[in-house]
Amino acid sequence: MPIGYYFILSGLMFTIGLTGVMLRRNAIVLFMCVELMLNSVNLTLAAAARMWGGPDGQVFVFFVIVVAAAEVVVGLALIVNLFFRRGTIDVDVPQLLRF
Amino acid sequence: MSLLAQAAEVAAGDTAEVVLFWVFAVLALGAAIAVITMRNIVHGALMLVLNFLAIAGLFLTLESPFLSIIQVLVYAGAIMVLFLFVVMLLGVDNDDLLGADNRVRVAAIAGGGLLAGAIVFTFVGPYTSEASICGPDAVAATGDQVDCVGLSQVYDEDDGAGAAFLGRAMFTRYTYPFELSALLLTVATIGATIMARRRDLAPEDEDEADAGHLPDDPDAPMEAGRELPIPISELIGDTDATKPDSMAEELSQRRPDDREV
Amino acid sequence: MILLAVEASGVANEVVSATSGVISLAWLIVVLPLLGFVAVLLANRALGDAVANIAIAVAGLTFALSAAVAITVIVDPATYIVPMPTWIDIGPLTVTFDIFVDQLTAVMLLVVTGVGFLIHIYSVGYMHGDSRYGRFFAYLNLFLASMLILVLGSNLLTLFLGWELVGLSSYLLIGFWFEKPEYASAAKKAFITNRVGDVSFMIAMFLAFATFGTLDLLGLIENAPALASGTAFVLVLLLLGGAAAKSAQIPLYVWLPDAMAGPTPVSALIHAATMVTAGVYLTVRLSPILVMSLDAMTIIAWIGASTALLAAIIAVRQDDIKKILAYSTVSQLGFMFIGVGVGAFREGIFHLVTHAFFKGLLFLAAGSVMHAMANRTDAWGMGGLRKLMPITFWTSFIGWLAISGIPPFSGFFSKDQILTEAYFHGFLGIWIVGLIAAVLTAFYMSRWFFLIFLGEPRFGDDVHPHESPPTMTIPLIVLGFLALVGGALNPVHSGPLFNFLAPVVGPIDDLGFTPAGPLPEIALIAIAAGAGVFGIALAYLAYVRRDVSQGRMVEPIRGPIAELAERKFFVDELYETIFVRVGGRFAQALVWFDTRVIDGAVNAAGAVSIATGSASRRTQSGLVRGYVGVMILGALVLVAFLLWQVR
Repeated sequence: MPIGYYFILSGLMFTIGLTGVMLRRNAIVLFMCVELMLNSVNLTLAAAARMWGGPDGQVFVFFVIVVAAAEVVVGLALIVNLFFRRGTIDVDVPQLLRF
Repeated sequence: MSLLAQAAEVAAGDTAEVVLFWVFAVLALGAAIAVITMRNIVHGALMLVLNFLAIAGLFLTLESPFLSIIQVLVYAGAIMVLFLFVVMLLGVDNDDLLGADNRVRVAAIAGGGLLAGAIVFTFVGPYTSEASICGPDAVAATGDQVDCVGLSQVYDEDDGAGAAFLGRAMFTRYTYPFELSALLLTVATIGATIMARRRDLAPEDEDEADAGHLPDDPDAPMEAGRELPIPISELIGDTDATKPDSMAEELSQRRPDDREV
Repeated sequence: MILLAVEASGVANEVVSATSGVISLAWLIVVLPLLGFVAVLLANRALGDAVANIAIAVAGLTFALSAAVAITVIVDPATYIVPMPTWIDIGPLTVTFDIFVDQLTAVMLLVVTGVGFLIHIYSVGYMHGDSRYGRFFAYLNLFLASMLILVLGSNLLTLFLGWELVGLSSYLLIGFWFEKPEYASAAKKAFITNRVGDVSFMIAMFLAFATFGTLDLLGLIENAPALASGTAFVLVLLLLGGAAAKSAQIPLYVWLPDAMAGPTPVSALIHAATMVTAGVYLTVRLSPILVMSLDAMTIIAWIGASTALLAAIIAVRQDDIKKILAYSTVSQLGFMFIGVGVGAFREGIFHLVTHAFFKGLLFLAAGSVMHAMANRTDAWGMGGLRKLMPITFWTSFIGWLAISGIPPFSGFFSKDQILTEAYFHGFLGIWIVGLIAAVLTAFYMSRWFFLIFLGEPRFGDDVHPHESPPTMTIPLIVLGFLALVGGALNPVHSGPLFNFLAPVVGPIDDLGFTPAGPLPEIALIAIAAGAGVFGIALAYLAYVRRDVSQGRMVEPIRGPIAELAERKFFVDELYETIFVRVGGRFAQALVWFDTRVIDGAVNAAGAVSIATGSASRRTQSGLVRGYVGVMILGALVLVAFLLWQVR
């Protein structure tokens, strides 16, 4: 299988995740879309590792997974906090930084 | 001989790899689209699990069985459990919060399509030729074609999953990032613990800790529902609620039942 | 004539770097009073009135050191430079705290510390019971230190440092009783008037640096002969501007009469020993520059002459015993400037010294009288104090005759020598004006003396005059003795002081002075002495013969000029109109310009920022997804760019 197909696949998945971020207002779904994007990047890294025949890409996948775990923990805590304070998880509601 | 090693053996085979790739690719893309379109969050989360599992399969075809296992354990296992737990905890499983504006929807899809087209345009050609098929016996690259080395020949004889290969890099060259990632996880755990505390809602604390913030009249209607015993303007520090465009005013007018539950 | 045998042309001093011996301790002369100032302020609360002892001890020590330094200079005449740390070192400008000691410095040191020390002692009696007793002595020490910095500075900038400090301490002392608004404003007047002169002095420094490339006194004096006459003219006039402010010359004399607001010892200090002598010191110190421009010197002489005359006329009709003395100081300083202007630098310094004796004496005597008269200052409310205050009377007697120019008292010698030099150097007009001023001086000082001490008492039973305590009378006696014999310093034209100072003044041989007339010196001396006698006789006729002690007092001299003199020729009113009114208008116009144009520009800049901000803040929607959209846009642009690069 030519390695380019993996790249194309992960690119499409990344685009889907991005479109999801744009479309949805639910913070949890937003997070799931971000996870999609992260996974597509993981796929790219793994494919690149195979392409170059080296360990670096795999190591990076490993680190991305670690960071993603941390990010999810903090992000979900934020969502819980937001829900307790605002009674909603609509990301359009907190607009304190609005002009 | 473990199952993984057998799977890796299969992946190395040309035809099997092609079949598995297409199966997992379709699964992954379909699940991804389902994630962003399904209104029920629990269903969406389950679709995400499916997506993760498909990616785990793709890792197998990429000769990286160790990553595949990690993907299943950490993503499909731990992270998705956390997601589902939060969804259940907050009771927001039925969600209708799609982008309401059609123009935004069109713009998002158009933008996404454009990006996808650009990516496809980039990779088709140099990366999809015969030369880019991995393995030692592949065709040599010509022109702007890109060669693929493959991992089978760099793994040790008895290292079917590539764990030793990965571990050597991880504990030699990447020791410090590895340690730092441990620190990162600790910090994230502590941070999440602090942020998720419901200090303004603990019923037994109401009298002492938050007496100053509570309305004097206990019978006063709580506009924002059970989550908001405190006036919003105080919570967000926006005391000038009379100002137009004020966040607090907008929030005060939003009743709990306005939420699309 | 023997009296004008040789105008010994100065042999230039040898420059010696003093690193050992008494001279090398000269820096203590400056540091001690400064330390005294700090110590007195610190110990003020703890020691109470005993704190004055610190100040007096410091003044005494300073005087002793000054005497030692002066003796060294007398024994071994030279210009001594005591190396001190550097203050400023930027590019070509190097300013050090070096101490500069030569013959002129020695004379000034003795006058400043000697009279200053006596005034310190006198203040113990005079200021007794004042609520800010300790602080007064601290200020006295500061004043002393400032003046000594001025005198000992080895370049114009350190001199200027002392110059400014003198202004500051005079401000503090003149406004010492600041509870009274008029006293406080007198202090302000003194300070502001001096600032005018300071600006002139500063410009003079800039010009001097631009011309000579150095501010060191030695460098200035050495290079002075190379000066172009035009530059010299401007430089001397700028220096004159500074000197005129400190030494109370026209047009900047107005602060000095008001400086009476301070306690009397301060008046004595300002008038006799310190502040006002600064201008004379500066001009004589820089006399090598002065002699490069005869025109400028003539202007100085005429300013001195007109100041002497104007102040003398005003003094004739003043009733306040301190005001009379103040105007007499202005007048006597005019004589010193005549001396400087006509090239009689050493005679000017001689007059400065004798003036310090008799004017210090007269002021302290006036303070003693006020002390006895419950702080009254109106001369018409006194009289007959001769028997009640014998010591004050007899010392005042000496002072009166000395300032009136009666031989053999000290004032006669110095004043006569200045007028004689004016005549021999061809300044006939100035000689005549000086003579008139001398007659008037004798007249108003006699009036002062007669009204206070002679006749019958004209005060009621509410005051009981008595002789002052010894702390006040002892300085009077010492100064009285000095005023009596001070003439011995330079009894003839080429006397000891004259020869002593010869190396430090500018050479006047090349100026081409010719006598104004055929009169020999003995005739000039007779005329000067006659002027004094004539003035005293006139005053005797007016104030003693027509016994003013009887009944209500009426000023016997009347007429429009007398009225004009009483109102001080409306100079204060004139200045008020010119500088306060017109200056105020100008300032208001500037305020308008500032608020409208300059602030307007600033405000406009702010308004533009606000407008830009409120226009661009529309992009901050606060919507997370909006930001994501922009991010995608950015990503697209980047990808497009990469594609364009790769393909």
